[in-house]
Amino acid sequence: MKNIKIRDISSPVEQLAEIKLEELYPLPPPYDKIEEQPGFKNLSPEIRAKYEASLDGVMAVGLKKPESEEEEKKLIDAFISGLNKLFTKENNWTFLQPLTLSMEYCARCQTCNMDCPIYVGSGMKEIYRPTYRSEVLRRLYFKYVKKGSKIYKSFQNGGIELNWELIARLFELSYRCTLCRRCAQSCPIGVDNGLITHELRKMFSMEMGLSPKELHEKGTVQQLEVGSSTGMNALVVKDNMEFIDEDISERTGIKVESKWDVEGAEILLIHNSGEILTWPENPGAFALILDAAGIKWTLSSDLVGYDGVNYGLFYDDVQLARVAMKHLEIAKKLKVKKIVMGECGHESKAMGVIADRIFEGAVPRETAMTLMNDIVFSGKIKLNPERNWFPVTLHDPCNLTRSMGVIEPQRKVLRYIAPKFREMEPHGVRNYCCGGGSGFAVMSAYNFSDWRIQVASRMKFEQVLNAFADESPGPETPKYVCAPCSNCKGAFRDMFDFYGAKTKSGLYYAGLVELIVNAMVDVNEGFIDFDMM
Amino acid sequence: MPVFEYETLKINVDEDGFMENPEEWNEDIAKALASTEDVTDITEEHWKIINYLRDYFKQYGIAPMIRKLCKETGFPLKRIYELFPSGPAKGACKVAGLAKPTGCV
Amino acid sequence: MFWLFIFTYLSVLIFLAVVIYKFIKIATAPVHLRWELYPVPHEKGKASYGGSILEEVDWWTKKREKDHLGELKVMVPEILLLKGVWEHNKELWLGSFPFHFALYLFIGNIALLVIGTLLEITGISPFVFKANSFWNSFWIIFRTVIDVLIWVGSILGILGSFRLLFTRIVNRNLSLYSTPSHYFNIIFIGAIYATALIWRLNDSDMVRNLMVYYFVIITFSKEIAVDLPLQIPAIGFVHIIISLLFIIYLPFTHMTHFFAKYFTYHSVRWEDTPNAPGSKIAERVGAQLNQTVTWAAPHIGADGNKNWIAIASAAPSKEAKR
Repeated sequence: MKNIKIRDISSPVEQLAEIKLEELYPLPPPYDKIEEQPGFKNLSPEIRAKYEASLDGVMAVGLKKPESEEEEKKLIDAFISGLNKLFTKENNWTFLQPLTLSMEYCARCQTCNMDCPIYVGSGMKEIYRPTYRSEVLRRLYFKYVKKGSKIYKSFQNGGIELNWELIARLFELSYRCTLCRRCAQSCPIGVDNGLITHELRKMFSMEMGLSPKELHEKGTVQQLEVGSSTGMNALVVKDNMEFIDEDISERTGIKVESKWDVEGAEILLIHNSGEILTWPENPGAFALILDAAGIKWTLSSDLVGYDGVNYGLFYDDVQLARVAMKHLEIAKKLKVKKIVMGECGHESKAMGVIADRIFEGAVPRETAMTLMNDIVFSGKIKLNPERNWFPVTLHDPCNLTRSMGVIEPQRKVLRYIAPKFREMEPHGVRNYCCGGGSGFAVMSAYNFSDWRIQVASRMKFEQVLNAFADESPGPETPKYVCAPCSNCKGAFRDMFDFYGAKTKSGLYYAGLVELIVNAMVDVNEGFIDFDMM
Repeated sequence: MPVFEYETLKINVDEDGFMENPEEWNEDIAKALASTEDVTDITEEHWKIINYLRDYFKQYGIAPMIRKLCKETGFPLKRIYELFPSGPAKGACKVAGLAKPTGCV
Repeated sequence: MFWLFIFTYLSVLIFLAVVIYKFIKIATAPVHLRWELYPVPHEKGKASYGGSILEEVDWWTKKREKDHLGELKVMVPEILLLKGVWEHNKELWLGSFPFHFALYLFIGNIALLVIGTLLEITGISPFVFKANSFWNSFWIIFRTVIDVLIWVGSILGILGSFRLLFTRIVNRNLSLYSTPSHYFNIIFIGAIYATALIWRLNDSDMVRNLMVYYFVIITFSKEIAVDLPLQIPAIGFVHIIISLLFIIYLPFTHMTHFFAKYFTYHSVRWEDTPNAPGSKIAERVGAQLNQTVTWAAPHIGADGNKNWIAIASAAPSKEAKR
């Protein structure tokens, strides 16, 4: 459909918008030729017959088409009921005030538009404009929730027709924004489109039971049941950490031993357990550094205690609270002085800021960035920055920077231990999201990863390439993107794999602690081994 | 639930092409699934990886750490990517009939 | 004339009542989860790059200092010069800035006129001429300032209104998101500016007439109206009535952002108070956790009686596997 308007979200057309590769924001060479890219998987007609793909031909979730008119009517009623609950203090005291403010006071000035990496990356597709879904919800709010004369409300805020098409599209559309909140920074009024997306997802999950499997069944539900979103139970995680201890000891020449369930430890370290399975150097490096710094630390093998993720942050307040309360309970049981969140942005934000007002009598929490900065400059470990003699840039996880204001610690460390460190532009509090934010990095159903990598991660990929523009462009110079966040690392992996950026440009990614260990004088040289990455 | 059809086989898979019922896996299914992963011929090397994954999965109910896979099979990660172009998690695990890995992996 | 005064009181009353109602409603909303957005300008020494106290090791042991001057340094250019719009949307700023700035000048005028009236009440009449006195020069300057503000404000406002209307119609980014009210509001406010300018063009005594009008309104005095009758031209009445209608209309629109913005910044964007045990926040949150949850999705496990604490302490209901 051309020239899409707000009201078109309820249009009966088969598909509202279409992704055309030639319309996306252009990438620099050697990634500028569309025909050389893997392209875009289209959904099969069988899938389209069963599921709703009427937004943009992409499916993040796969919403089943209603089978009968009664079912459709039921779903519409559930939607209206959820919409109303979203604006009650009983059900949504958690975000009622910010949400209502964002609903009622937008001036529709579009000042935020160009700050959205998805909108710009898509070549400015109307449906991805950061205000598009907000405006749809706003019109629904005024029509179905807010009291007042119908004519006056539609004069003030515009009209909208609520039907199943709208609901199906709005649901998918709530998974086309990474909640990075960059647009909210530029809003003169203080409206927050990221928050609006967040609330929409909540309403779908908490009222209608609709959410991506990766975040719910395989995410929070599995975490609360088995202990981790990865499916690792306590036995497996201990076994894996033992393997990591051996592996790291062997490679570094320093005996590393993970501590479990030590009562009264200074620090309870909670990793994103994805690190343990996929990026074991990271938890290994943590163990090595904490020991070297002489800190009394521990991991927890309790249910949920060894997995810091809290996907509830992305889609469901109740699940958020359930996971957060487990974390707190364990810290209290172990009587630790503080919790340190590993290199995971959303874990840091969930525990550090968002759940702060869910915790009663909380144990203090701080991010790994802060702790590492403290250790590196404490003189407790000897470092030789020359060992990191390769170009390094820093990716800022949105949750750490924009939502927590943790900006400098990781930079101070890098400026010291990585002589060829350079910033990407923009960075810090104005960074671009990796494109994997808000759970996207773990979502790959149907053709969603094609969309995520090529649209949501597009500006980030360009930014990374530009950051190394002064280096030899080929693979002969390995280039290190330091991404202190598991979710972001997943996004970088997928991005670099997709474009073949490792072989074409020598792009690698890993965390902050790996660079610290690589620079430690007491450690065997070559801890960071690009051949293994 | 989508059904993947290959020659005479009918396999229940999830939206990413991973088996829904990993216990139904057999070698013919592996060959069928390999066809979706740009693996045209399953060699000895492939089997070594697949068998390790199967054994680990039977014991622990999830996929092993990638690093463990490399160490136990003796293949560097690069080689695994050559054998299974989508990588160990999305490629090798799928062919070995494991459920899709979950969490931030 | 009587009805004009009555109408003025009525307009101001409606305006105040609705604004105060809305203000209280926002201010008494439940305390929400933290959702601050950096940069937060009261973070001392860190605001320039968007940092926070969470950058400090053992931050909870450090003294928390709020830099209120830092907040002002952001708020003043933001409100007066629309700095955010300038930085992110220059095309719109060309209209929006003069449009808003003219409004500030007019509001400044209202404040001056009120101050003038208060002085009059204390007996310093601007209408009694005493040669070479301080007050004589004062009133001359006073009237000139108001006059200049009328000229500058109305011309700036008219230009701004035209430009803003033009941008809203021509720029597709804006027209797609504009409802009838957006055009109506610009024309409405534009009419206030236009009638002010026409009045001034036709009436060299406009300032004097405004002063009399304000005096009568504030002192409830009928006599003065007899002594110094309003010699307002028809266009002057039109201006006053349009302005009063606008004052009634304003609280019922999104333009109440003029005060809501206080909350979006101070209660959300910059609201970073930690939940310390025994604090006011802890107390308010505690009360809110006792509320009953009615979300209908099966995994929530709400039964119409369970409150937040019960729901959050329970595992997801088994039906969660859908």
